[in-house]
Amino acid sequence: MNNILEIKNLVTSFASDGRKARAVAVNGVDLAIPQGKTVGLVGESGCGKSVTSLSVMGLLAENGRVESGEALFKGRDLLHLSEKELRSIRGNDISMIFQEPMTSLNPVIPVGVQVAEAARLHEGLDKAAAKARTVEIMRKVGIPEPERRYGQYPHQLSGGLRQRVMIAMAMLLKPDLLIADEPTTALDVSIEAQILRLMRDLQRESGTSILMITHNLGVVAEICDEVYVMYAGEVVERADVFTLFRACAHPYTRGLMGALPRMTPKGQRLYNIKGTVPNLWAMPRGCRFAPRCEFASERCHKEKPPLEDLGGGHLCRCFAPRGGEMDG
Amino acid sequence: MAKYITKRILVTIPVLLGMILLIFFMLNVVPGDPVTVMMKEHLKEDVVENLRRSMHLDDPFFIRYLRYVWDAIRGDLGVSWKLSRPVTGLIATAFPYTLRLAVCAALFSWIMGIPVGIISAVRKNSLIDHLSMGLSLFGVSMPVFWVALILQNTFKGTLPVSGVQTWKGYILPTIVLGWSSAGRIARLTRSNLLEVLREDYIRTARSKGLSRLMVITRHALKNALIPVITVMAIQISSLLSGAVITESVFSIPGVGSLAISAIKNRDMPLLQGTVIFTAVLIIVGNLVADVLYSIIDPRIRVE
Amino acid sequence: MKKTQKDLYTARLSQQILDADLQPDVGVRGSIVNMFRTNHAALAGLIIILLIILAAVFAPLITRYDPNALNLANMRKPPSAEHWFGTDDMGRDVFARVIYGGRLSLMIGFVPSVISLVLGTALGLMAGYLGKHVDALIMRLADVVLAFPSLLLAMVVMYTLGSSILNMFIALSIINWAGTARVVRAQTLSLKEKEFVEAARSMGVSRFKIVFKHILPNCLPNLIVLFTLDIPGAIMWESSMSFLGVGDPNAASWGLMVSQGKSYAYMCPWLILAPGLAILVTVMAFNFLGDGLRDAIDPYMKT
Repeated sequence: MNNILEIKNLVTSFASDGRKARAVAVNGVDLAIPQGKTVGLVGESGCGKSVTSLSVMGLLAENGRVESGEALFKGRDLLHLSEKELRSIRGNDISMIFQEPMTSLNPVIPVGVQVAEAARLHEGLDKAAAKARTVEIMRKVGIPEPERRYGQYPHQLSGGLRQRVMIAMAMLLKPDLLIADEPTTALDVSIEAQILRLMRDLQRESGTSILMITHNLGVVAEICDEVYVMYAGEVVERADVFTLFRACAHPYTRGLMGALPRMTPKGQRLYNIKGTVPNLWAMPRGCRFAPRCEFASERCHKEKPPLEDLGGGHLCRCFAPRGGEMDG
Repeated sequence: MAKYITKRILVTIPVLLGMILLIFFMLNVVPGDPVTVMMKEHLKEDVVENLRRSMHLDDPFFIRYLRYVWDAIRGDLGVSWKLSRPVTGLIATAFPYTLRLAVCAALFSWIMGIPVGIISAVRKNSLIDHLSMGLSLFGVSMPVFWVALILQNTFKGTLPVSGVQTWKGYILPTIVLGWSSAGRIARLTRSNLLEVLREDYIRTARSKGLSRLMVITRHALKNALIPVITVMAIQISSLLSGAVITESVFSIPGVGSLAISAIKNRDMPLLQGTVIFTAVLIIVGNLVADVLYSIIDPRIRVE
Repeated sequence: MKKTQKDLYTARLSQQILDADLQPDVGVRGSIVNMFRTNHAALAGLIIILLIILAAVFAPLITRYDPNALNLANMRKPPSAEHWFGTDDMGRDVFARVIYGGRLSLMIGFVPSVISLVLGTALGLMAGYLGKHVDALIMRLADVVLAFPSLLLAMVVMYTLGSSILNMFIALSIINWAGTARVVRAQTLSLKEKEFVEAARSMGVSRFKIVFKHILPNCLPNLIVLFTLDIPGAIMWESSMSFLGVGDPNAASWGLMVSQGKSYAYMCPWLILAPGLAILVTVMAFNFLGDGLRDAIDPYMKT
């Protein structure tokens, strides 16, 4: 199978005020996105899923740094490209959609101009051509009266429309890969369904691969082909979407699932797993989930489990993976 | 929009009247009116009485206040006791000097302050950042009159240090007056820009492949500079009152010099006129800055 | 004169309190201690202020010269081992005059700042807590005062009351209370709606007690900052007015020393350098301290 993006052993750390040691937010993540597929990256906030995508794009905040690893995109390692080379990829070959469309759009620039910007930059279109192209993509993502909306400011648009603008911005140049970081979290459920449908339609048409970052298993069920579950900076489980929902093996994933009533793609917020995500400076020595795990044995607290293949590409980081069907 | 401006103007009117009332009250409770101050020794008591009555000096305070406001609206601010000329005319002669000085100082402070602020923000915590921020706090803490004296004595012989017969005469006063404003603008530009650069939309802009320079010029600067406009309002006030000191040191015959000479000569109408004129300028300046702000910021513009 | 640090601060702060519904900060003391540990400028400011206060208090131990002793045989001598900062046009020791002048300048910094702090707090509490007409009246008055260029307003007060040090205190208090009142009012308004105040009210605690036990303590951190920034402002205004000849001609403050030295500034620069530097260092020390306290106390103002 052809992978559009392959992340290997990614390690990213952050400096923090008043501390000498750097906090490792992503600790050796491997992740592959097959051509034309949608891969979900799931976990609680703070588990490192957004940091993973920002590392790949070279968009980490000032205090963040990629320590090691590679991210092969069409044979080129994104982590070792110059800023200039990366810029030619950003917004052109790989584009992103962010969580909060209100704050992710510039409040003092008309939305159309913000969408058109990438076309002018990467394809050197003149103003009129870029506008024509922008109006076309805005219509395609379901923005009514795109000519009028082109000149409006973000605060004049509804949340759903703003996210459609973000999608138009991301899909304008038909990227090979779209990284969507919680694209529907800020939206209400009916709008969420529309946006996900739109993304699926656009994907079918353009063949774009999608990395869907979310904490919402409903979104995963709706749109993803494969799923990676992250916990405390590490991948703890990987499976295709059917296997994951039918027979997930890691206690953490099962906890997430258990919190999802009826497993309908409705998008409830979940987690009735007790305890909280461990502090980045005080990581457990053994399995990082052990302190919260009801099945944890002595070994789990001492030794770190490897990511093992349970068969058919179903990976799980656990000494005692749970088997069998979930009881809903 | 028009509604907003109208409302803003209406709010200004009571402040304006209150301000005139305050000044009028303070300057008119002083014992002694022109007749008693200037002619007491030369005239008999009943003549003084008659004169006072004919000049309406015996009217109740509030009537005199209303009359002053009414006259002021028609452009009559009374007659200077010392110079025996209409105060309005004196101010009209002096104001161009003050205006030229204030405009030069404002331009100086923007040209210095905004780029320094931007560079400091972009190179945060670098040597140049620490240096320029230190200098700007230095600027805010310096006594204006003292800097003026030092520059005057340093450039004696190189540049004109007194009077404004040629444009060169404005150079030193401009620097003196503009310096602290420049420091404040630099600090504000820096902190606003740093704030804006942490916003989500900056990350969006970078994710589109824009270079750092383009991100700053196209996406960050406009957001960062909009609040700086409000400082212009405060700046008008500080420049006009700073002009009092600057004009005095550099012998510039502006409104500030008029006010000082009025105090020294105990010339009440002249002092009253110059102070009220300056305060009106400041209030109008604030108004203009507010309206400008609402025009520039699309979030306020479309209501 | 320029607007002081405080003017900028009060305008922004009162808006922010209203906008952001500032929470009473429980960790203020800790954050101040922490601030001194990391903010070296603020620490330096504090140390310099303490040194200046010590020098002023123990002036006779520091210099053996009488600041007012004339010595016409020893006029305008440049700095030497004998006279560290030289002598002035009447042969008086400039170093001694700067040290003793510090007593006056510090007093001018503190006294009006305390008065305007008390006045501004009382009026702000009244406006915020009583609301309605009281609020409207006090706030319009504050608007009027804030609309004025502070220097001109203070000069008008001096004109009316006459040039004395006591009147200088009054003038400086009048120009400074309004900013404080605005901030206290904003904070009172936001605290009034908080649960703990509502709870106290429902339990029948008297208004007076609510204001003093619940509202005032929560205003304290901001008041400390405002007070710290008021002091350099007052020193600056006084020295400016003394320089312009509007101050008390007998009070040998730093501003007056610069003013008296200005005619000889070219030949005898020490006459203006010494007192001017004294103003600069003092004002800067207070500004550093005030800025540091502000950053420590107020999370919104951090840059």
